[in-house]
Amino acid sequence: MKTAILTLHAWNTRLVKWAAIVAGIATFVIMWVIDINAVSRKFLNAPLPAGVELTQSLLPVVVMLPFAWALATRHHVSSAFVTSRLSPETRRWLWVFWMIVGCVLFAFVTYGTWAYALRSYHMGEQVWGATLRFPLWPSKMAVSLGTCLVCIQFGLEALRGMVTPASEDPHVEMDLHA
Amino acid sequence: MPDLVVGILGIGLLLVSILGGAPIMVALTATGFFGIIVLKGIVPATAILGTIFFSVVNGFHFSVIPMFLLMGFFAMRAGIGNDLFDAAQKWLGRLPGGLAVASTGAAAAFGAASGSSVGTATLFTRLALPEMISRGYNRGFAAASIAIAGTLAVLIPPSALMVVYGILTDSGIGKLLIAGILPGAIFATLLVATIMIVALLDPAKAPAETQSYTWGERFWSLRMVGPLFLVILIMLGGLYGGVFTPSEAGGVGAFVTFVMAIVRQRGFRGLHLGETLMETVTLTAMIFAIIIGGLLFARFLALSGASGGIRDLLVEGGLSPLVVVTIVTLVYLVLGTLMDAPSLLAISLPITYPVMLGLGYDPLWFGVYVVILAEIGAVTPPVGINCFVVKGAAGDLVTLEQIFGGLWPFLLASFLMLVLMIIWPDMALLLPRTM
Repeated sequence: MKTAILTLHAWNTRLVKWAAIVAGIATFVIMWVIDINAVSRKFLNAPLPAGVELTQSLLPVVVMLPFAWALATRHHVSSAFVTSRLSPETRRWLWVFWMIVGCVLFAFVTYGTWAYALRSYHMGEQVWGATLRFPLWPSKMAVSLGTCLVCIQFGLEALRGMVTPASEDPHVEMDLHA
Repeated sequence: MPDLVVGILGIGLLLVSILGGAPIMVALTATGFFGIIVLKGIVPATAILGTIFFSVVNGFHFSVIPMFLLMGFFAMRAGIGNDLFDAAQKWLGRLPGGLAVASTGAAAAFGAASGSSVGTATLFTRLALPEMISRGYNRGFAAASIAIAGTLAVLIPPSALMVVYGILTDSGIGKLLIAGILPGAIFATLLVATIMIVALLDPAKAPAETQSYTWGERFWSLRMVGPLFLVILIMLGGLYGGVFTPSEAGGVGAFVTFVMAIVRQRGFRGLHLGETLMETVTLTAMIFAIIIGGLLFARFLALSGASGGIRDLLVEGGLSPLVVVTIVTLVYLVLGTLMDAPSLLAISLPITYPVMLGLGYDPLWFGVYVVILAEIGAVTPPVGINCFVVKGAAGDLVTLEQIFGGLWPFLLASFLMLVLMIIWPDMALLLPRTM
């Protein structure tokens, strides 16, 4: 059981890392889009077609896809002011508890964002105001994808916490010094 | 149960969750969501969740955060900090406490490029601390001067923390960034003055520098930092003159530091582009998770009437504005010792922002004031993250107790800064007013 959970956790971590890599590429693209748009607007009086809208549409990818990677690498901040005084085992079970809360919470978030994205898809909603028009639902679905990935990551973190004693989890020790 | 009571209970639940070790984004989002369920039911609460996530991450002007972060990471890869410290050492090294003055000046300039308090503190601990200790500086004083200098990064624009404040309060981001210039410069001057006074009063803490440099060496040291200052000038000038939007300023800054990093690393290999982008998006996700949670929590408090209730209590309760400002200051100083700055803003602003606006304070002034408070929290025991960062980067060179012990003169300077902000609010408003 423990091996299966740890294997699943490792697989998912690899998946969310790829999601973060996609977000990284999107960030780099945004930098170029913003710069080209600014320069062409100022000096050629010809802004990049749909440059602003493209940046806007890529931003959900940049922000939401790495949510789960940030969790997997323990970048989501928490205060260790009180918990650092607790025993490693208590800290471990507290961590499991918060991961379960996170999993339930993001299941709701995924449902809410998915319903929102689906409505946009059915309506054929498009980006307004751009010289080039393109559908808005992929951006909305990127939000759902990000929240779905983080929901799964929360669940797997909880399972891993349940089967890994504090003495075997380097993060418990890390949290103590956070 | 009356809505107001639900709101107050929500605030209590949030604090208990945070102290119980919940990731701050989970604590904020869960409290906001479950609170709205109690107030309005599950269907409206889920609908709010759906819209709030998308509306925050789909704004063009919010792209300024990843761009500022990217710019900071490229600046680090470009080794700009090394060049700045080298130049500052050659130009300012002969002043009393010269090396500490140089590291503060360089940290202020680097902060303008990186916007990262923790990154600045880490870098200058590695660059300047061993040098200062080898020249006989008091370890605690030297390390504390770096820890506090790191905080300048979030005050001097471009600052991601200012943008976080702007998003959370729906304030103009361009004006906010410009509002930080004068207070940032004054705070840097106060810190430099503190170093010089300590060095003059107790020369054992910061022995005088004996090494001198020719004018040729001094000017040569500017060859790499000159372009950086030019970029900062273009960015801030562009923002001030309305030529750039904040996102464009961030995009241009990121591009120029990207080119500088390629030049410095002689190609792409040393740039570690993949790693840089991963660091950027991870930090972006972390910051936005807190912002979204904070906005949801603010929505819950507004629906419950708690934020309005607290505002009415403090604004119409007969307390003088100065007393309220003192209360708000104390709350931030206490909470600031327990958590990082973006979390502190997300948790507190839904309550303090309406109060300060109700008292007639300008949102821009409050933004600058609250950022200074958050950064004082970043060096104050028991948590004081910058001190931990300095200790982590310094290894065995200095103990945590020595760092905290060396902080007192700088904390006095920080409080003086707060007093100056209160008695001269135009310090933050002068520049934005002329935009």
